[in-house]
Amino acid sequence: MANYIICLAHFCELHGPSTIVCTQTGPVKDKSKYLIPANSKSQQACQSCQLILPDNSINIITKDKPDEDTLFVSTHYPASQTRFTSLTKLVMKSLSVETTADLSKPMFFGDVVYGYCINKIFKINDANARGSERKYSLMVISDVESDLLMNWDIITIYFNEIIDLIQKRVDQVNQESKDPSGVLNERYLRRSLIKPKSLVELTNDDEIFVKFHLWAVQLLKDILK
Amino acid sequence: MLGRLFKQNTTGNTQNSHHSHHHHHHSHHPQLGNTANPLNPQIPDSTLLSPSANYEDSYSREILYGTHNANQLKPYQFNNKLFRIIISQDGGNLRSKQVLYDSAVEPQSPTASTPTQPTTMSSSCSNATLVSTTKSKPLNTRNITTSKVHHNVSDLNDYMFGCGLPSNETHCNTKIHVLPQINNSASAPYNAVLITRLFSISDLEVSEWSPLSSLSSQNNNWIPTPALPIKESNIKKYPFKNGKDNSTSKTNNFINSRFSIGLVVPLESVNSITDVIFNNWHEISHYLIILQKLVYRKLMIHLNSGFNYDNESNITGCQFLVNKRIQFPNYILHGDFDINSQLYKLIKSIHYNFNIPKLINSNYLMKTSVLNESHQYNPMLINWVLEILNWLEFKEGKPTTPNYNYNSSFLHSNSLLEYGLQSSTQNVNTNTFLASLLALLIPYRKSLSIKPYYNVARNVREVTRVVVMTENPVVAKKLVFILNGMIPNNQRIEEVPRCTQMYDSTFEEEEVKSDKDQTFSVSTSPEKSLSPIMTSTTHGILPIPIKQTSTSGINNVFSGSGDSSSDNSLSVKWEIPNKSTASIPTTNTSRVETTAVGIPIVTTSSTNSTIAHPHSVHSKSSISYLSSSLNSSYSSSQSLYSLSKLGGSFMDKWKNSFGSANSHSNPLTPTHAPSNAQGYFETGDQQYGSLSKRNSIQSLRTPSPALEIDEFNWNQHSKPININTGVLSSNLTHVIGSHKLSRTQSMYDLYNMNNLMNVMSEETDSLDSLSESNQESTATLPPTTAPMSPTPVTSTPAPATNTLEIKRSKTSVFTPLINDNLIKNVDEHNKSTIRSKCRSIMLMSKYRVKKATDDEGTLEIDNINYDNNENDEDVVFKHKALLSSVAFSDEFRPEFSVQSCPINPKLEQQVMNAMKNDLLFYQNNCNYDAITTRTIFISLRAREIKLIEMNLQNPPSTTLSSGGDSAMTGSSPVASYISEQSNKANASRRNSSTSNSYRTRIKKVYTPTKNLGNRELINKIEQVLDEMNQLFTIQLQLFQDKKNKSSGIDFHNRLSKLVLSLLE
Repeated sequence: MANYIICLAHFCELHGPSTIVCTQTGPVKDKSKYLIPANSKSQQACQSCQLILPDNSINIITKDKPDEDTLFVSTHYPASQTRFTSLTKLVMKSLSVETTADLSKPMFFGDVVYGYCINKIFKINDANARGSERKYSLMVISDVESDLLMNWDIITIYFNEIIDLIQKRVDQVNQESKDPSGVLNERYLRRSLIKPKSLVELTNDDEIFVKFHLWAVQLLKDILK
Repeated sequence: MLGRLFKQNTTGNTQNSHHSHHHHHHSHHPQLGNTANPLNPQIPDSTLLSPSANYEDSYSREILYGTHNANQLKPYQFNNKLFRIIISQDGGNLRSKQVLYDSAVEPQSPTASTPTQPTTMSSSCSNATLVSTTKSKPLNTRNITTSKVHHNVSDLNDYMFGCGLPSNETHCNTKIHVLPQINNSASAPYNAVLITRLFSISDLEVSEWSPLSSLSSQNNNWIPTPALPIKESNIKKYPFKNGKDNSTSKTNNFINSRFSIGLVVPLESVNSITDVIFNNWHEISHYLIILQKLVYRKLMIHLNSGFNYDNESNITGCQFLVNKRIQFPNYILHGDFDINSQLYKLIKSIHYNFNIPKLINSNYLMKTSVLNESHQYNPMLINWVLEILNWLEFKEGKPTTPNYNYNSSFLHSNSLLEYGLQSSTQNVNTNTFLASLLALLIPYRKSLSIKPYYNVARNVREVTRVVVMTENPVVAKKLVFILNGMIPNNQRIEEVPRCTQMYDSTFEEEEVKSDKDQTFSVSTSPEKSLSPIMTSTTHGILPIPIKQTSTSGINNVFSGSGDSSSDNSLSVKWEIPNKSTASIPTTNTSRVETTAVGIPIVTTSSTNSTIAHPHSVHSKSSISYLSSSLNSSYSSSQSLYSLSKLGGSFMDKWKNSFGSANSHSNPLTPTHAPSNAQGYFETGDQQYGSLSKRNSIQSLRTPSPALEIDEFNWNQHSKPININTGVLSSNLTHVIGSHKLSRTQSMYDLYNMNNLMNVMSEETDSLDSLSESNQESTATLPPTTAPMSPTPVTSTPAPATNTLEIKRSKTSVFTPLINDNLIKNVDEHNKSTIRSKCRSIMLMSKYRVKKATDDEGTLEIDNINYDNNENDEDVVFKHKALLSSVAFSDEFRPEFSVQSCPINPKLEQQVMNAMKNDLLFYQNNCNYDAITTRTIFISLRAREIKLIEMNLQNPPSTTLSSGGDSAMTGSSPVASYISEQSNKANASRRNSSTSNSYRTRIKKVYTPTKNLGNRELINKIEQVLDEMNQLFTIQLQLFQDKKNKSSGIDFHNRLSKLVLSLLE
């Protein structure tokens, strides 16, 4: 039985490739194994790397159905050490090693040591970012190569939809908050420091990560069928 | 006529498409087309076409692939020139990598670079010549043409190695990129995918399993598992003697160099990537591993040739080693004979794996049908049983419909007994071929349900193949169909009950809708309902008369009337085709005219009988006739439930609904049971609905042209048989092979008459006359005709009775299983489903979020439960790769677990070579304690079954001789200082230096004269088969006795039980 992790990662201008949120699934009885304890020291995460949830929460859980045993958990990073190692390595590769000619297509890479990954890089316009854009990676990682690949087409569709929704929302926000006099000049003069920005701020949506969680739940449900 | 026209069109189209393909090819790649690649002279386009040329009629498609729709199985002709293998090295330069081999590049002087033969190179003595050869080779041989058609090499290198951070990994990586289309005038844009394998030549510890392996014990739920494992090697830690260095201080040379193998595979479209690549990922992985090992071995030869020695024969260095990196000259592998042939192997592998449609998992469908009370896949069940019975009758000469009076059912069993006795006295081998084969297969079917190349997480690996050697693919396919039914599904097919139900209901809904839409309605306007019949007849499609003869084996033919009197049925000596048997007078006229070509005598009696007894359930029966007529007329039409194959069962539904159902537990003493037997025939209405729906679909879909021709053939060939039937039905010996000939189309095939193409070209007289008669009948068919079809358990899987049309591709099936017709484009459907899901989440309001009570840091969110909606839009359909079983392959392919192949004296040797390669592959790459590979080798002509088995036990005792054309590198020929070294902990015993032994056992399990199978099991199976036969015979008889309106559900239950005993 293949395990999957849905992950949103980005290339932080301060920290390099880093995970923002990852969604996993497991049995309800193992809930504690997936959750990051509330008293854990909050990671040294900048604004853009942080998983910002309503009510200062750390984890999100969703039960598939009240009577079912499947639990979907979204956290900032995987609580399991093995998964953390795998995910970190794959995120690093995804954002700073692998390259593809066509950003509209996902790519696959993986090995027997860390696991396997289908990822798609996307960029979000942000006038304050280096190069005016921020680089994100949407990833599905799995420990079973062939099972992951068999879901290529479903994953691709989800990737396209999720990325499209986020990008459109950001563009919408950019349009609304456009200050034609200031921003360009500020940027030109490099007066405003490159400052980390969360996707919450970029999309102007407090619950963007809740939504990501729900997207990931749907994706997981479809690929686990 | 139309059929012929269609057929010609089809063939014309395929030819055209092939031709246009070539045309296209030439026009866009003129240079390539004109210059044959001297390195790959053995890539003929035409030879790769042959599997697709293997024609299958719609019935065969249905039983083998779960769909009669040929469009889903259409082969795609790859442009072989677009395949490419590229091998590169990372010599340490961040900006550029060196290409060692590129199949798209033609060396300027191929003769100058003699292929290096590893076998001839035994030691360092040949090194000098090798080096000189490589040095004299032109380094950059790229020409302009190829660079326009193919992707830029440095781009490919970027994709393969990645850019950015250099990696110091030593383990293998696999990558898949969708390549951008090339836009330039030299080539038409094409889609392609790049499959990359990165590997190292290193004397560092290979980082396989580490660092996670240490952690995996703590957390066992993340175990990266490749499609196929590879045991990676590293080179010997042999510190070079260097005067400057203190050699004791270092244990190795810290060499680590990355190499990549890239495969460029062209695609029909981006959407076909799953079908071409991922559904065959195990096979492609296998190919990649073999290629990787080959390349590794070749590179090691070159590396070994480059050592520098001091006076004491100590290695002081290597000319290819620069800063701990290996730097081979460009194109060092160019001209290598072994690597050159790999491209051809790749093309063939992709072609065979993609273009030969995989068999549908009929075992699963039948089990669903039996266990889940879902009758959707009953046709598969019925066809399977019928094919078995037909096989027994026609290939084994077993009386499946024994000669007996329909009043004495025990005579039937007697005759079977007699048969058994007779045969036992005549022959030592009393068991049938089929039962023996099934008995042999049953113990191995679990391993047959695993692809030959598959990563099995067990200590023991068993590979089983079934190879049918045949000169008649049509017959072999029937056998493959029977065998395939025995192979369970090891994969989980998501049986989402809700979904299934939903689709059932959807289907019903649609049917209802379409009913309403139709100009004719089932019960109210039979006149209108006739129109499809008219259409079909004018198209010259009148297949029904022929197929019916299945019942002809029995003297007593039930009369057309639903409440037939016994004298009536007895009076009819000639059996009317079962679909028209119960038709009302007018229809009969037409029928008779149709069949008149064959049997004029019959006409009167049948007509008389039917005229004498006008049908009681007139309008309903007319509909059912309609259904069967449509069923048989349109190949593209579909219904989930074709009970017309069950013959009268459909009619039974109607009868049952009128209040009298019979249990047929004792055919002699029919007891009237309350009419609660409708469960089995719930489908009747649906059939109905689907038919009317089908009608509307007609305009959109082209009926399979081949089908009509089939039916003509049928007519033509069944003529004499029908006559036989009438005359000789009481004579058992004559009956065999004749009276049931029309029972399935397969009979046709069994007698080698079914070469469709031949018949087409020959255009025999009877064919013409038949079509004439069809036209006549059409002309005389009154529009008010309301025929009915209380077809008895006709064994006939009517060739045109299209019952299954499962949505699938050539290599996978979409799950949840769905009818092809319900969703045209799965990809579009999935897109819109997922889009609406994602959008509604984006627009979600906040109230869904709530704080979990038990944990302050955790939010609990209700799932947006789409599944509660009764909306089918929410279901996403997934590819589920089918097992690698095929019906027929024009050459033996080791990737297939079940296949039939043409007769070839080398076939057995090829099979054995493949088995040896299995042993080598799993021995060299996996850590199985024992490896068993076996092949059930069936020679149809000789009626022989051989069981070939090879075993490899660890630890071994004698040398493993690699046989055949093994590309394995387990026992590396490199006899040098740097040799492969396995890095596994238990490597010592699996090491290539360790000698292994394998045992080969070839056992003739079955020959016409002796049988070495498991007698107990064989007899058990034999008994089940007999019971099936009996059941069918009784059911058949029951249907002929109009008083005994047998209960279909009872029949189904009994049959299910029997089938289940075979399937499980």
